[in-house]
Amino acid sequence: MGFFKKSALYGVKGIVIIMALIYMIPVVLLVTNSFMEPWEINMRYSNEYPKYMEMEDIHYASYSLIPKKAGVGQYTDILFGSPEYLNKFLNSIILTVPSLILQIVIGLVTAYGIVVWKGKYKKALLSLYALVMMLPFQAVLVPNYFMVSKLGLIDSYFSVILTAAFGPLPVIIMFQSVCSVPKNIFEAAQIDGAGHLRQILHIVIPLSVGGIASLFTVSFADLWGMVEQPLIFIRSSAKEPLSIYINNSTNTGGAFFAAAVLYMLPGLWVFLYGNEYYVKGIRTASFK
Amino acid sequence: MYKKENIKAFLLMSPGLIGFFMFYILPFNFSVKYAFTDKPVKGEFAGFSNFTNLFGSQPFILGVTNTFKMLVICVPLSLVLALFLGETIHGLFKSRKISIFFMFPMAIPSACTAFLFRSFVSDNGFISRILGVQINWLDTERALLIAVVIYIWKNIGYNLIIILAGIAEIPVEYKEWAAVEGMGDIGYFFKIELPCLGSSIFIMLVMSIINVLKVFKELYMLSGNYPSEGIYMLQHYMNNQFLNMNYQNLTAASLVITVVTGLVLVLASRIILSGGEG
Amino acid sequence: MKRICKAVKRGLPLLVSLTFLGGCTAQTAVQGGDGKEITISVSDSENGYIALAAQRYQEKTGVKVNVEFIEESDKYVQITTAELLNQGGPDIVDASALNLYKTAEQGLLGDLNEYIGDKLSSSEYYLSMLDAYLYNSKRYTVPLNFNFYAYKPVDEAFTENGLDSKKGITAQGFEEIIEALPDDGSVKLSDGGGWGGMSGRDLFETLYGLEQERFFDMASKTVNFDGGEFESILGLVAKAQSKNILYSMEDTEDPSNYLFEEYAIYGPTNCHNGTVDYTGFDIMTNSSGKGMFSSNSFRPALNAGGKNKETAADFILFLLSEEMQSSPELIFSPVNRAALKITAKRQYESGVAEGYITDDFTAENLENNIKIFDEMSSRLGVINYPIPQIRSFIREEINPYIDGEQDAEQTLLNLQHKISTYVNE
Repeated sequence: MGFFKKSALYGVKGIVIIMALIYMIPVVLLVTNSFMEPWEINMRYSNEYPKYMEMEDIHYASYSLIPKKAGVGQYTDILFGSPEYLNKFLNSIILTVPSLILQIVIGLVTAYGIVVWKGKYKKALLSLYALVMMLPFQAVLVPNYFMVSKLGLIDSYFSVILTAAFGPLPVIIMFQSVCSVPKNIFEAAQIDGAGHLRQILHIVIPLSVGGIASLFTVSFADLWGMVEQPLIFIRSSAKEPLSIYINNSTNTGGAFFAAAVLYMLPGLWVFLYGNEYYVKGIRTASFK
Repeated sequence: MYKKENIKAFLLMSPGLIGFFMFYILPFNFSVKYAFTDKPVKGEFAGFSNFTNLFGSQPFILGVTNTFKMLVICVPLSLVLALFLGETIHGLFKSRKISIFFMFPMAIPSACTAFLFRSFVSDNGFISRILGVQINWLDTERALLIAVVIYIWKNIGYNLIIILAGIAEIPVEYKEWAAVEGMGDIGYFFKIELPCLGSSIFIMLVMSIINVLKVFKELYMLSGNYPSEGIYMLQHYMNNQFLNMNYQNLTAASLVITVVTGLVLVLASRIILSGGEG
Repeated sequence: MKRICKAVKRGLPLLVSLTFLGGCTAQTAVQGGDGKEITISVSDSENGYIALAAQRYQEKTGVKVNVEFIEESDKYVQITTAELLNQGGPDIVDASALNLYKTAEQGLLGDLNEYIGDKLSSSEYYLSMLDAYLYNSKRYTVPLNFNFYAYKPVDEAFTENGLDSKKGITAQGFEEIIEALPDDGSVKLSDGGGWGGMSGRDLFETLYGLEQERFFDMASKTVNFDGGEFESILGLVAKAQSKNILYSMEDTEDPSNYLFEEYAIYGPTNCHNGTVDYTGFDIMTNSSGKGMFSSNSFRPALNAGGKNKETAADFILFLLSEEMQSSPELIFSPVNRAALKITAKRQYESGVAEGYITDDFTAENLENNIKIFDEMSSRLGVINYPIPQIRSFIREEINPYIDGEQDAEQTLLNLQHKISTYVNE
């Protein structure tokens, strides 16, 4: 490799690393700030405090990675102050996990069916899915509500779970994944007598692990953070998910950062978990 | 044998299709009816008047213009960035773990993102401090820039996941074959890798567009339902119509969006997808 | 890390089955249809008045009244919107949380005039306040209670500054007043009765509120903040600030010299300064002679898609009746004239019994107060902030203006943009 090429490659690598660090700064800020006591949060970020104390004319938000006084005050407030936070956390899990599982299963099966189906309207069907995915949610929300209430599912977790499970996103992602399985594998399996489509699934699933992992990760982020659907479909605040609870800052008050960190943890776990599977995707793809 | 296989395929598809139709397509068709009436409840047929009203409505035009600007800036930017990051992470780094750094922002709740960005751009924020002024940047003409930054920061993870999975699925043999054929790295990239990534790019395109619409959540947390002129998006218009129960305008607008998006998709799929099946 | 993953993977099926079991609680919505049962939704965590009314109404007529409380107003709006559009939902909704005018325009609310219009007379009610909520000549909601501000001029302060206290206080007259006062801060506009006098924001809200018809009109979709009039109000407030005649948070003492006493009035025996003789009080009026009032608690509106509109309208009439309006559950002042007198007497008696009404406020004072209060209330007809969204716009832009962080031009441009977007959407 020439000198220029080598240094260019190192340069590019460096750029990527710097970018990754920049991306992480807010997260790091979040974590370190979560160890500050609530009063310090107010002092640093709020506009009212200095005016009240008549300290300065202009008070700029002062960031710091290191708390003036470290403490777990925020965490104790949330975890032990009242059972609300944990309650909502559980609700989020109840909404997210079944939805994800159903999404993966339904998405995979449906996408597989579309790939194998030799019908005239294949591309049209796919475009329909993509189209619906792009519609702003308000457009389908009221009719969705209508359908959900006709089924008697208002205020039930199922209202959110079912509408998520049959959504267009899983099918689209799974389709891409199933598509990339080489066709000769299917033919080989069929020749070997695996005419039963269910057996073919045993081939598709291991090879689409990358796709499943992508769907899992992407959809998790969506489901964990969704606010509008639960707001309308679920009435009792006992069943509210964490995303709604945390977005209302009066609930968390000074413990805002700790609340956010705890909220982020499942997401981070999912990303780490899913990441292993992209790597597996390479190895299985070169299977013959 | 084809017919039997076809029927089986159809059966496999059916649960997903039925659910999809029931929760999404069917209700949407109901809503189309509303686009042609003059009142949401017990209205009378109003022809195309809702649509003409729509295009004459200042807020709608503003929302469309701003959203269009966002799309034109953010989508290509995030596609290129994701490709760049995906390629470099895949090719230059031994472990893919660095990609996780880019995905963290996806996990942060919108309220936090909004809080952090507000502390950057508000009149007592970081940027104001550096420049020595006291300006709430969200109220200026530069507000769209802030929205772009929020978008790129938060959403690159989505695209990165998809492109990494897509790159990982390209068989290694292709590269060896290209080396044998004497193609340089650049030739390999453009002639073999990009076409293989066709479907991934298509999905990234779709996701990027959706995420532009979703940036509404953070904008809403920052500036409420009626932000300054620079960042009043189509989503704001639609959400306000929903809150004002102006269902005719809402469905007329979404019908227009659907048609336009449909055209864009058809075009995109012609260009991108047919290349990938090669 | 891998061990954690494995453990979770094994626990996952168990978790899933538990969550499925947990999620299996479906509820169906309750709906009446035969006039024997109606539903009301209230945007509050509780409302004793409505609960009491529901109970009494059922005792009287046998109609079951279900009351649903939804605490957060955002949530209330979203849920009610979806219900109204689906022609379902409660028979009576809470117009104080909803956007009354836009909801009415969509034909989602019923016109009360069709059912009980002939029963609303000005001899029984403070009709000018009820009529303030008319929109396009239809009555979509009625206020159940009200409160307002009244002012008592201090005669010496007026004559010292060359003003005539007999003229009555109008929004237009304010300009003259502000001009006449000295700028050394020796005289403040008002004392607020020891609760803090008129601040910049108070002054603005009063001047703006009385004249708000000039600035926007929902029916004709005109928005006029960038005409000269709004700017002149802003200028007036700025001038008042520069002359130091307003009250601000830095003032640690009550002003010793003020132009008038300012009171928030909740009833004939009841203003936030305690029990005071109302002689000499008056309200501030606009060019049409109307005064401003607030009514921010539950306000009933008919669901146009409801199946029991007649019964619901009858219940609303019951909410306005003398019997209900005189109950102690109603906060602030009743809109029913007869009920007002009953409530006033009851509050007087309990005040005397509990000792916080002292001997210098006699039964005669009470009668006098009732008369003056009645007379003032009959002239109230401008709603303080009829549209919640516009109220938040105004507060968003005026607060920085008062604090000096935003100039007048930017303020009115922002308001013009936001409000015309809102009106024109």
